Amino acid sequence: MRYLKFGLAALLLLAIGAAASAQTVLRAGLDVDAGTMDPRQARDTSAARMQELIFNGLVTLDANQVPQPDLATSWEFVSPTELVFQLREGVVFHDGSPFDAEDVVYTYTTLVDPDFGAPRRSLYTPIQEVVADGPYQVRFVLSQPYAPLLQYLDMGIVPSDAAEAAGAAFGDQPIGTGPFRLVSWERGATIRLAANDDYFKGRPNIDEIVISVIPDNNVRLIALESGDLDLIHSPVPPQDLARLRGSTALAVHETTALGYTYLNLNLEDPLLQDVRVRKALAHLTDRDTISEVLFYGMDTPGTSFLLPGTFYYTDDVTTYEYDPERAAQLLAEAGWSDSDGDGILDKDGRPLRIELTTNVDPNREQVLEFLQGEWRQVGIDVSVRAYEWPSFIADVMAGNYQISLIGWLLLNDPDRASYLQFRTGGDSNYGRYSNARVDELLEAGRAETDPEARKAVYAEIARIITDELPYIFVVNQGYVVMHDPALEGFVVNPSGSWKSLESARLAN
Amino acid sequence: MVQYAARRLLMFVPVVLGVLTIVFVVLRLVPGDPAAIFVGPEGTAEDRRRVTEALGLDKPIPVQYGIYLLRVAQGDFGRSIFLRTEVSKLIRDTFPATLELALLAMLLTVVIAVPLGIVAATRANTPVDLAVTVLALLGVSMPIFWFGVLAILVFSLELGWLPSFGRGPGLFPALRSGDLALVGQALRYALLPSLTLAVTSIALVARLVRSSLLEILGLDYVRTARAKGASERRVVLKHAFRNALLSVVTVLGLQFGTLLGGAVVTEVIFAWPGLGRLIVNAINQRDYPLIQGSVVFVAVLISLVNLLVDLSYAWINPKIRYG
Repeated sequence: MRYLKFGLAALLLLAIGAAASAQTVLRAGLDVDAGTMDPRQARDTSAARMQELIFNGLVTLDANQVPQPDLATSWEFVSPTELVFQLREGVVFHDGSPFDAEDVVYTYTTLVDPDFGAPRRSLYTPIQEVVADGPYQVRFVLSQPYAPLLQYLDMGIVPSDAAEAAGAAFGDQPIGTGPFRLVSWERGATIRLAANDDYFKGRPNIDEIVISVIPDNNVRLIALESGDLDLIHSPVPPQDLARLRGSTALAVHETTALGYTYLNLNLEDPLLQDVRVRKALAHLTDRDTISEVLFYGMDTPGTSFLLPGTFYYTDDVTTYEYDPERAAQLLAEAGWSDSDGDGILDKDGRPLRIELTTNVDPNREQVLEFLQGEWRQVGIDVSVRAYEWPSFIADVMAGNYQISLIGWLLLNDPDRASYLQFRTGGDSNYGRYSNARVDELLEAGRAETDPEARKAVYAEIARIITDELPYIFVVNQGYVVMHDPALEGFVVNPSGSWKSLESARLAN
Repeated sequence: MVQYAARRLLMFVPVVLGVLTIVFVVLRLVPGDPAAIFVGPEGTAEDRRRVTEALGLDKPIPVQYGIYLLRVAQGDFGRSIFLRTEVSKLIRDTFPATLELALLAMLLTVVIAVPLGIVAATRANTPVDLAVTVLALLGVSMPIFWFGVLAILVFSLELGWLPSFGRGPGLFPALRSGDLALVGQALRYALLPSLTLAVTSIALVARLVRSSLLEILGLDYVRTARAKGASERRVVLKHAFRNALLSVVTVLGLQFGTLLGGAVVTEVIFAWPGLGRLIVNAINQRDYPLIQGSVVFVAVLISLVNLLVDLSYAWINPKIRYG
């Protein structure tokens, strides 16, 4: 009996659990914790989500990735290398200090300082100098015309005095002008934000945002479905997306993301130096099946580095239909035949052996295993290896691979999708691709400020790239948001931005 | 006994030094460069060089090792490269969550496995025994991540009884606050993860209790006790079980060490902010100082648990003496 009483008491304790609160609290889930809250140091997607809520940039990118006024009210290129911004007056930071041109100067001066160690510094290197022309006017002086710049000026502006005083600790105690301020941050677990009463666009409707870090994709989704969360976004397992499309219990949004997944071909490998072999592999890569069967339509067949849904997209590129016969023919033309009858193609006594590698990721591993089966059909001896990210990327960067499946993210400008990747000697040109015309066009695309002319430049690059195949584009990544239908006014942005939470509301 | 304990504690120094050296060397042998991960895929070679220098990773490895040892000798385990926080603070912040989980899992193991084992042994070769044996087999062979996700599906999504993730208010903070409702809430959060963590130990320990007890119940002195007219309850619990305890405590101790250092999978599934997740993230980023510090911490912890287990033998079996 004593035990029974104790048991009942314990049960009662368990039952007293959920406490309701009168405030509107949005509970969101993320896959990884933010590495830092300092916008200049942001390197992961979660840090990007936080900086959009805590800070404001000079501009903000709308769902079409077109810059719109944020802390800047207007801007003008006074010369190809000089960009002048008029700033909003009367804005205050979370600590009550006023925002002015000095903060912009400080933010970008520190950002481009190599010793500051900003992960995305390479995007801003053409900035030579940032000058305050007055309390509410700043001038960006560039070393060369740099068309993508505006796309990158959505980065949060930090308060010069407070950031300077805090040093590296600013990333733990961020102070911005944004719709929400940081209340507490339990590393690896929970980030709490509260509405900024003095937000210059008006106080947000949502009083509090509690962001939980839940690494497992399945569990994060279950937490949403069981009502422990109100909002999650990519990564979402594709098979679960397929299950939840058309759900009435959840609002499910899908759009194209600003990223693609591709096969990176190491052109220093003698086997892959023959473009006929690369074309054969492209013909053997059944993008439609990969998109429909492996990704349940979440990711769409890849075309080039110019992404659908962006201004620069074009379908006027070389595409390779799934065609094993054509592939076999191309390989034969390249001199590969099964001379010893072992089922594997060979040339000069060497078998056609390819290792496909990627990082540990169930979807990527599936893609490679699928390709392994396809490529083997025409007599290529394919092996697949998936290993943990740090070792994998170290190998890729060192050119220590044959063909790797990788992705690029956050490509809000075509320059970002191509300049480091395809330029001769480019820092992310892992496969050592080199084409003088492409190098020339990449510089031209950086400098060209007329959108239509610029679009034509990148279309030409895309045609050359798809023709010469340093990359085989597999899928364009999809972006998924799922939330409680009670959340109203959330605008899905392919960049993954949560900025619209500044005006969204949570109906009761 | 005190002398024995002191000698064992002294042995920690070579253990720590050995673990430190192995971790340090292995980390530098496996591919993966923290500087490359730090600057990210859009970083330039120049950025990487600068970070490598700032982290002191450009120095020869023996020099790096010497510097590191010197700092550790002064009690300084350095700062995490990515979290920019003292390694010792990160361990202090995350360890309570892991300890909480391990203690609860241990409690569940003892409370569930010991009675199950006793029941199975005293009713050997009956359907009850068979059921316990099958359950134990299932528990040992079931992958933890599968059980964990299944438990969340059933108890959070389908039944809606328990929260699906996280630590909630945390048991230790709740206990300190003295607020019973908060303790209840913390237990709701801890129930599924600690059960998931305990499944393997429950199965192992139940099987062990069953087999050791069975063996002892067949011994002559048990027959004597029965002949004396002692009740069956007294025979099993006082006479037989105490002798079966020795091997059980050994296994429990080993299990506790595993639970402390190896709650990784459970912590990832349940988004439990503990030491296991800290270590996994550190490994995925090649955060050298953080990996080194936390692995040494876990090694010392496990040595400590083993020492306590050894000392407890004397209490369980007074015939055992340390000198």
